[in-house]
Amino acid sequence: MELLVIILIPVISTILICTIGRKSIWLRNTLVLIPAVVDFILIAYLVRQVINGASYSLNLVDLPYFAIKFSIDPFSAYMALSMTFLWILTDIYSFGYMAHEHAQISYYASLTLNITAAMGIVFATNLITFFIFFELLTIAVYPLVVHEETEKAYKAGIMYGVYLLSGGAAVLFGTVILYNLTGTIQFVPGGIPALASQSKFMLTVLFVLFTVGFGFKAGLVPLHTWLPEAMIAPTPISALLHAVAVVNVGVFGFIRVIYNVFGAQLYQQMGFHHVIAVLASITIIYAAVKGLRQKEIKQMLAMSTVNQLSFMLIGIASVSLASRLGGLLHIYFHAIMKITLFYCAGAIMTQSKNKYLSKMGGLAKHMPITMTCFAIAAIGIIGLPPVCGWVSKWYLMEGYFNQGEPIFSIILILSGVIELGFFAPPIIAAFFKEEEPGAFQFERDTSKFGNEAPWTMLLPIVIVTILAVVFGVWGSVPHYLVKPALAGLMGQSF
Amino acid sequence: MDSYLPFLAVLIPVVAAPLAGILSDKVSNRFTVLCTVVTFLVVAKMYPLVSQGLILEQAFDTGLRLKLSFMADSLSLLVGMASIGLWMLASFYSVEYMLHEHHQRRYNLFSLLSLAGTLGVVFTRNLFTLYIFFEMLSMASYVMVVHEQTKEANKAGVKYLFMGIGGGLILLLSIVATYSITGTCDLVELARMKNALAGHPYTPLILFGYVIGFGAKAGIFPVHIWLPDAHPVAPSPASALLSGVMIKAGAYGIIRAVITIVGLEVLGQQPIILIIMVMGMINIFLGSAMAMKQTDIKRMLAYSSISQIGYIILGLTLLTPLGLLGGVVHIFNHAIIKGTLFLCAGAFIHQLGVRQLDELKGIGKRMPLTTLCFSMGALSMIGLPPFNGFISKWFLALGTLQVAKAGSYNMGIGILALLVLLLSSFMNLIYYGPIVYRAWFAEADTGKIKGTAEQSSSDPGLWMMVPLLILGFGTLFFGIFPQLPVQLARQFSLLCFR
Repeated sequence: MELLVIILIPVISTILICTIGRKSIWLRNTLVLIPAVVDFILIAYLVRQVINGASYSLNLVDLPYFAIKFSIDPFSAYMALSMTFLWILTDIYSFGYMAHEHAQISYYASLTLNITAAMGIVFATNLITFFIFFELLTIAVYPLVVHEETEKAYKAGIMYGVYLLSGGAAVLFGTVILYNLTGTIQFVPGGIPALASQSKFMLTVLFVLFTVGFGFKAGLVPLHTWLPEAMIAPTPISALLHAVAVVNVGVFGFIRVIYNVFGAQLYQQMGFHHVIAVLASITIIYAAVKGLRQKEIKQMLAMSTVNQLSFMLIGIASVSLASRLGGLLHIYFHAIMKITLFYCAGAIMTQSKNKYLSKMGGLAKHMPITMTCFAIAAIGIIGLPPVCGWVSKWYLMEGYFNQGEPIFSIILILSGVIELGFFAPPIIAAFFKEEEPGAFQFERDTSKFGNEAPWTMLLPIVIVTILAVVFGVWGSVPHYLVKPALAGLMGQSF
Repeated sequence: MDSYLPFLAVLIPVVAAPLAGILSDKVSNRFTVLCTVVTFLVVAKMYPLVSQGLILEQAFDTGLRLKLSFMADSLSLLVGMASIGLWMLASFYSVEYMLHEHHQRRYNLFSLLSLAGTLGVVFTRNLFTLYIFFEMLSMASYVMVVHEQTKEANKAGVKYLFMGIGGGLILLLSIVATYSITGTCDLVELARMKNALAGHPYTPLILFGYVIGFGAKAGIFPVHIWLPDAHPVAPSPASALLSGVMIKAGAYGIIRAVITIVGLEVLGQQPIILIIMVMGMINIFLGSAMAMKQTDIKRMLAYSSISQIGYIILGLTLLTPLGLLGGVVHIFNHAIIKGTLFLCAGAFIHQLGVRQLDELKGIGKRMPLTTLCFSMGALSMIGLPPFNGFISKWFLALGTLQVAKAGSYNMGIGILALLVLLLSSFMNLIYYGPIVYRAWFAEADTGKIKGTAEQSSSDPGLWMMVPLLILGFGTLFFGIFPQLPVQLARQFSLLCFR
């Protein structure tokens, strides 16, 4: 019942937004907020019970060869909780950011519908349910990518569609093969047992298909190129979907396949974890170096996202427990840090009309709060205390030391140094350098807060920044969730 | 013994820092002074307990698997006292010095954060906590370095930031490796395990990571390159803190890493300790040689710091009780000496606008008290009795002669180290001597100094003069009554070589 509400309420809200949302802004904003808030509260309420062992499930369709089923395990609760929380903030941020944009109804409708897609994905109990919502997410994000309705946006939209749908095709292909081999596509804690007796060739085929399929969404090099292009979407969308929901769903897919389809043990026997670790390492270094050469804020953040996503992959593909914990933790920690950066970038771009990194000199005088939050989040992404990014990095490195492969730990450190190279110059310029004449075009020049963005945008920025710092020294809440999540995935307690 | 004092010493500046950033400039300056005084009192309150051999500690659960824990033993108390003492005096000094500067609140904010970082590094019980504060120190002190916001400052700042954070990340690698191998980050437990890292193939690399990571902050060759650029461009009180205190956080870290984490028995078998010793010797010579060539007073002092940090490393790597004692005492003494010298240099710059060494001729007549303090600092730096610089060199020299007895090296290395010490004192004489001599006895070049020679005294006002006199006479005081640093250092050294 609870799951039905969680999944259905955004759909109802979307329909209402499309039909009566035009009447008043307040009505529309309420309709936008309700599903995110209700979902968040419901999930927060369910989390405790789930961790204590209660189970909730929902069978929407239950036919012999086709079943749409949902259930909630600690891992999906963790993902859903983090996503819905950030969804609320993004809704609030959007109210400020989109105030003067066109086509707001379609924007909010898509944004709300995506909650259903995301919740469907995380609560899916079998691959076909997962796949349906996986594709729904791809499609429902498309209107947001092309929101600008310019030539460039449509081009990016086509690229986005082609890339992600072909990724989806690979997943579907893999699902079909899996069903043929084992007769089940259910996610099983610890892996599908029947898979262990299959030939190595078929296992490799499955692995390649799933890796390619989810690799698109998780931004594995060389499948990542759609992500910087899709940055043409409005910034709250880049923040939520391209830094949190869509790409994390790719990582989520990897996790389900590794732990609930193959099973961590089989995965390691076949040596797949090494393949993922090496691919992820290549991605980490490639994206970091590429990030050095970006000229626009959002492009730089996109490359940083590609880089950070592979942190999660390198963690979950690891043999050691510490790295796995680190990978799971990094999903949430990266989400709050990267969403801060994107929110700040959006505030900077709307207020100062400047999107170039080289022209950030003196910006901190105009937007002190935004730039401070930007700097704090950047510190976290680089992996320095006391912002939360370093906690997950610590676990990742520890795990790789434990399993005797310190080379991967060194890659993580190297990535931090390179990232410092692209985050430091704009921040230093903003705080300590002189303003270039004509770099910024502020509309108003008030005294108290300089040229800060309206409070609807500033509030989410400040909240996520504070969270990032709090979790950097006191990691209780995510930690409380991540341990049972990992235990649930592996089908064993530790 | 459970005690909240070490935690409190770190907490006060952390909590006060945002306030100092909000208040108006004038109030903020005085508020900063108040905070440092309170923190000083808290640290001083630990002394009676720690000098009895107690270890004060306090731990907090973070919800992560690692704890946030604090501790004060004799080494951390000694370094902590030097840090907060100099910090307090420098913040008094800043009230007048920074009066006409821009961004005073920002300076106070990050000064307090750096203080918290330094005290955090010093008063921590595990490496996890240490790393948090170490990076906090790197980032907060960056803002102090670039305070002037000139092109030069920004350039030096970038160098500082990259070296500091790059070094910090290497440090993290070593810390994680240590944790992975030993299963603990706790310094006390690591000390108890003694040979925790023995026989592990990565041990030399881990040790090297610690030396490079902490060394990037301490200014060890070859990761010292940021130091001569960054220290002079900061405002003078900040330079004094950078040179007097913050590099000591790095030196403290190296001592902890070498003695506590790797352990003396393991070290003796590692050829890498010789490499570190040679790095220390290079520091001594390189710093002195470069200092001789400088014309800018603050740059010269910065190079002198590089040379002095070499003493500490040398004392440590001798692996003898007295050598370690000398190195630890020098942390304390050098803080006082370099604090005096930088603050005097700041007074010259602030009052008369002179930065060049040849402009200091005859300055003794214009600013007699300041020059007196500067002279005492310089003489102490050379290592003349009865100043405190002599005390540390005395113990270091004794330590070199213990080398053969302790059996860690052969006598040749001990003699070499002794020669290095003597030669370096001579080099110090070459570059500090003439300045002191000319300041008192040479005729001033008219026109180079702003203001007229007829003015009787250009010594700064009380806010600056009192800290200068305290520090200046401090070099004398701790040269005649060195009980406090020597006893604490001895306590630590005995514990290590038990």
